[in-house]
Amino acid sequence: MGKLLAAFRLECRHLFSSWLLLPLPVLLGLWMASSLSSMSPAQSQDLYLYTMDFQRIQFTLSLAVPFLVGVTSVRRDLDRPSYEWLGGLPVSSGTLLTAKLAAGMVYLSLFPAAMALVYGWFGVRSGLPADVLRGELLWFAVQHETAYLVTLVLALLLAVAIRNRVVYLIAFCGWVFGTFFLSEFVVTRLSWYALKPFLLHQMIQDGMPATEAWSIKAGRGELKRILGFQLAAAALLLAAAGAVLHKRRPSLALPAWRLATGALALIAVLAYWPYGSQLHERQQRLAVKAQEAGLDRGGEEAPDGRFPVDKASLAVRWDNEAGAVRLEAALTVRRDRLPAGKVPFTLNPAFPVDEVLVNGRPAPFHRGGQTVTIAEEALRADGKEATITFRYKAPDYDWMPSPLEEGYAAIATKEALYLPAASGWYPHPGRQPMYEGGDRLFPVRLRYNALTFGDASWEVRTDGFGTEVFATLEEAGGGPDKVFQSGRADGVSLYAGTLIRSGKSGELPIVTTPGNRREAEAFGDKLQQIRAYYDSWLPVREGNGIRQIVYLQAPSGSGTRGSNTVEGRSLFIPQTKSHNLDNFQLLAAQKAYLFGDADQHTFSYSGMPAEDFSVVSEIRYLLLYLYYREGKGMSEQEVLRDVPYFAGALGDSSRGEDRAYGKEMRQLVEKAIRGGKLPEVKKLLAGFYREGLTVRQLPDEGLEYPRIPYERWLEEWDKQMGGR
Amino acid sequence: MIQLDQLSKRYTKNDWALRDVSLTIGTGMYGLLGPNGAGKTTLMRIVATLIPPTSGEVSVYGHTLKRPEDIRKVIGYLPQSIQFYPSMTGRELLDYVGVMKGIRHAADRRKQVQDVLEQVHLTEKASAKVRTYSGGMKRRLGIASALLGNPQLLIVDEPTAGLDPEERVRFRNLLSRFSVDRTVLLSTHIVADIETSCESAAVLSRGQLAFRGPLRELQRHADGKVWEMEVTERELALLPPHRVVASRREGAVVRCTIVAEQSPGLGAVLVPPSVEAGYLALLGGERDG
Repeated sequence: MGKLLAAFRLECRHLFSSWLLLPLPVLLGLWMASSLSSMSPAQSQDLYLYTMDFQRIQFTLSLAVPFLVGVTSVRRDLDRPSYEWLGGLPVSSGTLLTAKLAAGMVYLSLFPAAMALVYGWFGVRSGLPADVLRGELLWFAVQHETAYLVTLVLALLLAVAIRNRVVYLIAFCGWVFGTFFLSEFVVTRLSWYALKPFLLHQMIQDGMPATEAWSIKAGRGELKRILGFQLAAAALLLAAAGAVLHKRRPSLALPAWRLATGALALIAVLAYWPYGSQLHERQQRLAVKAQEAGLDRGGEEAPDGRFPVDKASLAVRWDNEAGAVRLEAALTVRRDRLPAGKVPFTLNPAFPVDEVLVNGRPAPFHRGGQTVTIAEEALRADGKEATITFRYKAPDYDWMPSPLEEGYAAIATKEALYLPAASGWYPHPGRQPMYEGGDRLFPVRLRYNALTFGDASWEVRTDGFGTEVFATLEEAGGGPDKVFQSGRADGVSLYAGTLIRSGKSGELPIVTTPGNRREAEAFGDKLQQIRAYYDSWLPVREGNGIRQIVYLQAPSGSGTRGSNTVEGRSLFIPQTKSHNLDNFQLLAAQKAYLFGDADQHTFSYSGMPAEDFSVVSEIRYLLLYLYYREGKGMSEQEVLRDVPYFAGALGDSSRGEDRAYGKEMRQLVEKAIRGGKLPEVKKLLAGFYREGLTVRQLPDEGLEYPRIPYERWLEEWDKQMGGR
Repeated sequence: MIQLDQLSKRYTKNDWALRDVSLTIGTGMYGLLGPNGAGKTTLMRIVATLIPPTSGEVSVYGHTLKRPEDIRKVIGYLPQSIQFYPSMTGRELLDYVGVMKGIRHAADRRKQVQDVLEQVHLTEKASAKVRTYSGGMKRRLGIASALLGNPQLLIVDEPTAGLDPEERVRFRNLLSRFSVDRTVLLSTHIVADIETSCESAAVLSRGQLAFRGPLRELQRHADGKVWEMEVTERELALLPPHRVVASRREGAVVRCTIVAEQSPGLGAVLVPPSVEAGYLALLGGERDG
C-alpha cells in the first residue's frame, strides 16, 4: 500500500506540476461558461439544451486529454529505456499502472468539477429547483467520470502495448473513432446500435439523451446497462495492460493477470448482455413495424373501417409487480355505426394486448401487427351501445431510430411517460396505417398525422407513477393519482418526467422542463396580457381555445415533425434552439387561445374553388390585430411592420385570387377606429367568434374551416356599422 | 552466489543475443567484458529481471527467476543510460526509491538516503532538482539509488561511460568498497575498469561465453604474444588495428605494443602481457579465425 501511495503521489506530482495540463480544466470551464452565456432571448434560453450541445462537442473534444495523459504517463517511465532502473525495483507493474490510473482520474476529475461549477452557477441563475439541479449534476458527473475513466484506461493499454511513438497517432485515431465517427456514421447512420456502448460517452448522441424531460428519468435504465458494460470493459482493458506489462517483465503474478483478463473478458461479455438483449427486443418490435409499413406500401390495405367513438376512458397504471405500465382502454361505441364484419382497431404493435372485453365479457380477438380485430359476433349483442375494453401493456421504450438520431415513439416507465397521441398508444377505431418505410438504413417511421380518433368525450386516469403526470386534457382531479377529462377531443397525450408547470395562479399553465423556466415565465407574462385583453370583451371561455401549453423537446420518432399541434385543450410546441418561445410562438399561442387550433398561416386562395372561399383567416387576423392596436397601443404601420405574418395577412401584400381582401378589411377596421367605432368593430368580430373560427387540420392534409364569403363579411359590416 | 545456467535469449528467430551462458559468480567485483553487441546488457537485464530468458536459469543468492519478485528485493541495478524525473530533487528521488525498495519507516529511510548521498558525494546537491545535475552527477545518483537498501547484488552496466577521470576513479573505489561480502556485477568494455577492481571476469563474444575466470588467466591468453617495437608512422598504419594494444610517440618513431602469435618484425621484443592484451588476444584470435 505504501508503494502504491508513493507511486500515486509521484504521478499526481507529474500531472499537477505540468503547466500544459493544469490550466486545461479551467479553460474547459471557461469555455462552458462562455457557451452558456450565449443564451439570449432571440433563441431558446433552455439551459439544458445548451449544456447538451456543449457536452456533444466540447466535452467530446476534452476526451483528447485522457488519451494524452494515459499515453504520456506510460511513456514517461514504464516505456523508456533510460528509466529501466525502475524495473529493477521490487514493485509490481500493476502497482505502477494503478497509480497512474488513480492519479490520472484525480486530475481528470477536475474537468467534471469545473463543468459542474459552471452548470451549478447557471442552474441557480436559471432558477432550477435544487433537487433537479442536484440530479442533473449527478447525471453529468457520472457520465463524465465514466467517459474519462474508459478513455484513460484505453490510452494506458495502447501505450503499454505499442511502444513506438506511433501510439500518439493511434490514440488520436482512437479518440476520433470512439467519439464522432462511431456516433455519427456507425451507430446513427448505419443503425449499428449494437456498438452504442462502445462510444466513449453517450452524451454525444442526439435524441433522448439531449432532452431534459426524459434523459434522466427515462434514460437512466439504459445508461446503467451501458455504464455497467463500460466499467467492465475498462477493468478488462486495465487487466490486459497489466498482463502485457507483467509478460514483458518477468513476474510471478503473470498467470493471475492473465486469468483476470480472461475472467474480465467474460464479465464484459456478460455485462453487455442486458443492453444487447434490450436492443434485440427493440429490433424485433421494429421489424414488426417495418413489416406493417411494407404491407401499407404494397397497396394491400384492408378497408379502412373507421367508425365514431362516443366515449373513451383510459386507465394508465404503473404496475410495480410487473415493472411495466398497464393500460385499460374502454371505448363506447354505437352498434349501428360499426362496420360490417370484423371490427378493426389500430394499436401500436409494441403494446401487447392481453384481453378484450365487450360489455364486460371476454371477447375473441386477433392481433396482427398494429391491427386488433374483434369478431363480429362478439359485438352483435343486445343494446344500442357497446363498451369495448382493451387490457394491454406498454413497452418501456417504443424504439424508432432514424438515420439522424435514436428516436422513441413512446416511453412508459414509472418515472417517465411520453405517450403522444401520434404513437397510437391507445386503440384507434378502424384500420389506420401508422407506419411508412423505408430502406435498410431507415426501415420505418411514423406517418405524419396518420391517426385520427374523431371527437369523443375523454376520461384518463393515471395511477402509481413516481412523478407528476401531465396530459393534453383538462385536469379534473389533483393528487398523485390524476384524472383528466374533456367533453370533446380527438386524442390525448401523456407526459411525465423532469417537468415543471410554469405560470402563476390564473395564468395559462405552461408544462415544460426546468431549464426553460425563465423563458416560460416571461412568455406566460406576455400571454397573460393578451388573455386579459380578450377576456374583457370576447367570450373566449365559451370557445374551444387551449387551456394549457406544452413546450418540450420531443424525442425524435414521435412523428411531430417539429410543428405545433393542438391536442384536446393543449398547444404542443416542440422545442428546438430556434423553435422556442419567441414572438412567433406568442402569436401561435394567441391563436390557439382564441381559436383552439395550431394554424399559423394565412390561407392560399390560389386555385381555391369558389364554394371553399372564406375570409375566416382575415377575420381571425383582425381579431389578433385589435390586440396590438388597442391592447398594446401600436400604430397601424407598427403592427404591419413588427408583428409576424400581419403584413402577409392584412397588409399590402395580403393574398387573394385577384384582390387583397385582408387589406380591404383592415382598412375598413382602421376607418371605423378613426371614426370612434371600435366598440362596434369588436361587437362584429365577437359575433363571428361566437359562430366559430377554428381551422382544423384533417388527416388528408386538408383543412376544415367555416365558410365565410367576403360578401357576408360586408353584409355583417354594413349591418353593424350602418354602412362603409 | 549468482549462478547462470545455460542462459539463452533470442529476440527474433535465429537472432540469439545470448546462447548457453553458464557462470558462477561469488562475492566481490566481477567483470563482464565484451565488444558492443556481445550480449552483456542482455545478460544483465535478465539477471536484473527486466526481461525473461528464452531458456536457462538464473539464481541470485538462492532466488530463481521462478520468483523474480524475490530477486528484485536483493539487487540494485544501474542501467547504462539513465534518467530521473527532472522535477524531483535527488533526496526526493532516493526517498521514492527507498519506499519502492520496501524501507517502510521514514526515519530509517532518511538515514539510508543520507548515507548513500554521502557515499556518492551528492550531499550538497541533494536538495537541487535533478534537471540541474550533470551527467556524472546523474550517474552518481543512479548508483546511490542502486545502493539503497543494501542489496546483495549490484548490477552496473557501463557505469563509468562519460565520466571524467577523477570521477571514474572515485566510482571504482566506491564499487570496490561496496563489494565486500556482496557481489558487484560490472559490465564494461573499458578493460582498465575491470583490471583495477575485479579479480575475475567473463568475456562475452557474439552472445557466447569466450572466457571466464580470474584476470590472470585472461592475461595468460597473451603469454608470448605481446611484442614491443619501434615503427614509423607509415608502418604503424599498416598494422592490423585490433592487434595494437598501445602506441606512444617517441621523437620520429612510434613505440607500440602489439599482440601477435609471432614476432611482428625486426627489433620486436617480447614483453609481459597485460589484461587488456589478454582480452585482445582472446578476441583478436576469434576475429582472425
